[in-house]
Amino acid sequence: MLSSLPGHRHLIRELVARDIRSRYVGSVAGLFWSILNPALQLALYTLVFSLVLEVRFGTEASTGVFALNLFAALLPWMAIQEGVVRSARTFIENANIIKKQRFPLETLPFSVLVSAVVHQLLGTAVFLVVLAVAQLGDFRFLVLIFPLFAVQILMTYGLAALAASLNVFFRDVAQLLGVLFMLFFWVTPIVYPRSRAPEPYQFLLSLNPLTHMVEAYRFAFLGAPEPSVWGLLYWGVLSLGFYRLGRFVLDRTRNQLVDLL
Amino acid sequence: MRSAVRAVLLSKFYGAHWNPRSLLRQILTGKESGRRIRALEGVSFRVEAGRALGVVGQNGSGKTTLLKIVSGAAHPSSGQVEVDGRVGALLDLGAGFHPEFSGRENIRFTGALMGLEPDRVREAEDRIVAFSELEEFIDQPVRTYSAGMYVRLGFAVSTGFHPSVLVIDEALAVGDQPFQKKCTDRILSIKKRGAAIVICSHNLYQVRTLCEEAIWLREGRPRSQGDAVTVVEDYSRFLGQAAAPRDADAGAPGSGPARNCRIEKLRIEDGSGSRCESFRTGETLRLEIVAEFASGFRGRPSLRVAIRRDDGLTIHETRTRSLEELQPLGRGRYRGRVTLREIPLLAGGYRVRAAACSHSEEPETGSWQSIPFSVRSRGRELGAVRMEHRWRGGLQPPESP
Repeated sequence: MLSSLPGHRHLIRELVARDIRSRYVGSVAGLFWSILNPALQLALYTLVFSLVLEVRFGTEASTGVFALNLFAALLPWMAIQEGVVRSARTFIENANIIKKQRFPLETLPFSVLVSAVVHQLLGTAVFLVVLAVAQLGDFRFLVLIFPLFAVQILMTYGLAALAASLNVFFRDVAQLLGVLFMLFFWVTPIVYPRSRAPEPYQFLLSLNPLTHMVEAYRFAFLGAPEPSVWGLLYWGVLSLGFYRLGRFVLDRTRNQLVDLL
Repeated sequence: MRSAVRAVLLSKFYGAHWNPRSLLRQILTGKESGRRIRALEGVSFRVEAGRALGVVGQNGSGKTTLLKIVSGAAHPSSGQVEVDGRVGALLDLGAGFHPEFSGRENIRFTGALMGLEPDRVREAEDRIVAFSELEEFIDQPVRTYSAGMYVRLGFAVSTGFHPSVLVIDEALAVGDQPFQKKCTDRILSIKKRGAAIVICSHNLYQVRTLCEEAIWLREGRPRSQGDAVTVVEDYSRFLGQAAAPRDADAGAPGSGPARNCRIEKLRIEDGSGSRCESFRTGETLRLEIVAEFASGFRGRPSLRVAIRRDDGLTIHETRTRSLEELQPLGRGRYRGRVTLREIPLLAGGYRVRAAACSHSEEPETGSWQSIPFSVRSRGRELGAVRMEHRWRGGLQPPESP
């Protein structure tokens, strides 16, 4: 299914451009809103967790270090969430176009994912500038972000295709995703380090594949602590599994799916 | 020659009681369950490049389903369809446009969807805008367009990227006359360039002129298939029969607005005087009309009779000039008889209409009563009426006048 995507590159470019434009068309502040939301989340979580609850990453009780660790994890998290949650509705929102001609369905969740990744890349660029200025980054393993992006995209695409197809049959899927993402936000060590969790819960956290992804991104941008290689392998294998599952469900349902739109 | 569209035993079923959950279970496990409704069954055809297939049939006969499958917008439950090259599709009276984006953005999007390189899309863009006659509005969001503008853009876009297969569903029913003419010309020129065309239309005249072959679908199954002239003839004969029960209430009292005169009876007969709704070119058609003029009626009673083609074209209209042409039946009732000898009408659906009114006034709009009838003809002439003609070879000397 991914292999069919290059043939539709012009369509995907149109879809992504359309998606990004449609978010800002008719709004006065435009791009400002897509920066405000993550910036506000970053500020609020830093305020509550670092200043009020005194959560710390590493040994230093520095608010700046906390904010950077949070930022490193929040960027991929938000891209995944946005890619999957918005994909769930993409077939329904584009029913008018899908039903009027031959349409390669896989391009829709993929273009939603691309537009989320574009925002993630913008955020990452800002993040790198902040790290360089604050001199808190550790860029020795920065090259790791490329395979990390690749696996993250593979996983998001699988989940997005799955959510998009299933939501046509059960409109509850979009609702369910909201709940699931809230749950996973807190059981992934995003606003706290895994080491802060009590012993039995640390094991549970390690079952969550996103734990390993988040720790790997922190490692790539900020240096220590080193992520577990087995954990990353686990995340990689699960991502491939999600991709295969999403692709299977979309391929099996694509013919009937259009009749329900 | 290799056909541009090849369809083999296409069928499409919908579950009668489907709900999303059972459908999903069925898809994932591959097991089928429950009663199914047939939308299409066992349809096969080929369309060669440069030729056109017409699809006729009543509403709900599966025409739209068939066109959706050919265009790739829907998938058959069984059977196969193969299409060579780029498909331009105009289904359900409108292309798939995004309402928030401008006409121009939607043109570019459709081009990308059809798999064209961006510079090819830009090349075609100006032509499409010019054809749609929407130069002033092309950068406005499509949601601000009127229905007519929307369809114009839809037609321009679906035919504008040199499709090798063109699928059109009833699109020509809208738009004003000049634009309809322009659309027909465009379809003909696309066909001439070597595209295969699949078109469905209620306008049988159009099917006869545009298409070489046709399929008549009835309840999802092909009822007649082959040469367009023959299929259209079969279908219009069937329509004539199907419409017959309707003429029973043609003269029903109180069927129109209250007024001082009305048509009480309208009967259409063949030359021998028996009721008939299906004629052949050259046969005799007789009409019997009984009208009632109430005591409040002012003016001289008069009857009017018109023959109209089913697209509304009046072919002939006549009226009585004096009371002597009517047979008085007493108490304000009159009978009129009209004989139309050797009707020159060519194959198609027609209606005969009658109205009662004063000699010097036009009848009220609601006072017309009408009965449908159909005409079959053997020849391959097109148009509304047959005209006596003769073809002469170039070698023969011209006849002296």
